[in-house]
Amino acid sequence: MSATPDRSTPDAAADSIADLYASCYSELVAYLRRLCGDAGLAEDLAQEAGMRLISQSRREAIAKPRAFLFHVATNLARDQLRRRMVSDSYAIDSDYDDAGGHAPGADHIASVQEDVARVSAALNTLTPRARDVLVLARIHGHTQKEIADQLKLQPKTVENHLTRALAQLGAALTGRRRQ
Amino acid sequence: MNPTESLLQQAARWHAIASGRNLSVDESASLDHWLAQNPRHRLAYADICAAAFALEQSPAAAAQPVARPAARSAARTFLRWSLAAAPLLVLALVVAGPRVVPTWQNLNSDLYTEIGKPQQRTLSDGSVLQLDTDSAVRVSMRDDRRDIELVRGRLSIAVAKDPARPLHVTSGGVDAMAVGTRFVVDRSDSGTGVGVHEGIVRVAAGKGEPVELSAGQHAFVASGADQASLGRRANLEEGWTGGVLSVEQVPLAEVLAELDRYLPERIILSNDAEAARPITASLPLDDPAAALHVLAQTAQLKLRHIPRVAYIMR
Repeated sequence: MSATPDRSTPDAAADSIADLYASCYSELVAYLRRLCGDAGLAEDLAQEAGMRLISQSRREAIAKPRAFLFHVATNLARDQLRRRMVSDSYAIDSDYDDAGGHAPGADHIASVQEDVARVSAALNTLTPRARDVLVLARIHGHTQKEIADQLKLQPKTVENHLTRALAQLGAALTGRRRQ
Repeated sequence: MNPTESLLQQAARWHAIASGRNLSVDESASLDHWLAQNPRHRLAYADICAAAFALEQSPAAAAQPVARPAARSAARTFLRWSLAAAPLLVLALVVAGPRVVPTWQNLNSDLYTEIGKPQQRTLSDGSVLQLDTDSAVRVSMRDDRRDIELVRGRLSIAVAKDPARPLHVTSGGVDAMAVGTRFVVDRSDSGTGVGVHEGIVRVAAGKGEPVELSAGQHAFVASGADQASLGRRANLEEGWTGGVLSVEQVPLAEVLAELDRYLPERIILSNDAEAARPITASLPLDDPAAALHVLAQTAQLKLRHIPRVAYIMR
């Protein structure tokens, strides 16, 4: 109808999600390659995560599409890593069922939401100092040096707080999966 | 100390070091070395990464009061994206199911094909097996029966006549049995289709009553179902064995799903109002990228290539 581009039209929004995926793609593949140690698998997982980002963005608003994309990709990689560990140790794969993992083909959108809920809840279990360091570093994007100056801490102390906080969130995330 | 925890701690240490800056070449190499030492290291690192991405999406984390006002406004980003995405209640149509990374399936199969590279093979009994794009089978020849298990994808088989040992093609819970005939079996996440070109094929699903299909008939068994439903779709099933996809008045979504099988790219149709649009075309399957281009033009839709995804929109 109109020649003026309108961001609220579905295909303009579809374009912007496609832009985000396209602009993150090489970084995502590099990240997954490091994580899995397998270049071909990294590309497959990036593609699959992109598909899920695009589908999900049409169902509901995604507040943090980039983090969502990387998170879905990470969970796909975790599935693959668990499968690989199982098939390496038993040389079978078909009846793989680890109480810990999302079942292959599990709903990764739900698993992302569950992870976010678990991590949000776990924030309250951190010491106030560790939480400050974590939020400054990971939500507000400050470097460790900036945080050290800001909170008048030694840089090594900042790293230690961050390590402990991340490990605690990681444990909260995997709590259901490992005893 | 619990060894799992200590791995998580090590992984968290790496993640903390990389926080807010790039790793040096040496650091980068030692992280890669640590990851390669043990699959458990990779998994622990992935767990920490997942936690960090979950944190980024956590409204509770964004709402945390911190010692200093944020330099970057997370709230603004949120607003921009919600404005962009809010009016969209339309589902994007992913035209085919997820592709399972098939490495282990290939290792456990007797014959498999890569995307876009169908193959033809004469089996030891003289039957001619055509294996379509991205497919895998296991074959077992015994004195009293012949078995072909379709692990994924699609096959067409011209069965060498041998009444003493019927040939079974199994796919999930579906068993298609023939003595001498030519037929197609197509396995996807949603179910298994069987189409008969010549002769008679008996299709059994789970504990349900078998149905007999004769030439020109097609049956579809949904995953986990005990009953085959008879139907059309022969239109799409003829083409691939000859390398051409000829369709007449077939819905766009079905044609796209067919091309999707041949492309390393995945196809997404952004507007599902277009899904039902009838398409009449003849498309070359040996050049699926060109076929997709022609199809988009025919349907007067825009084709956008983003990494490993073909996005079709108005």
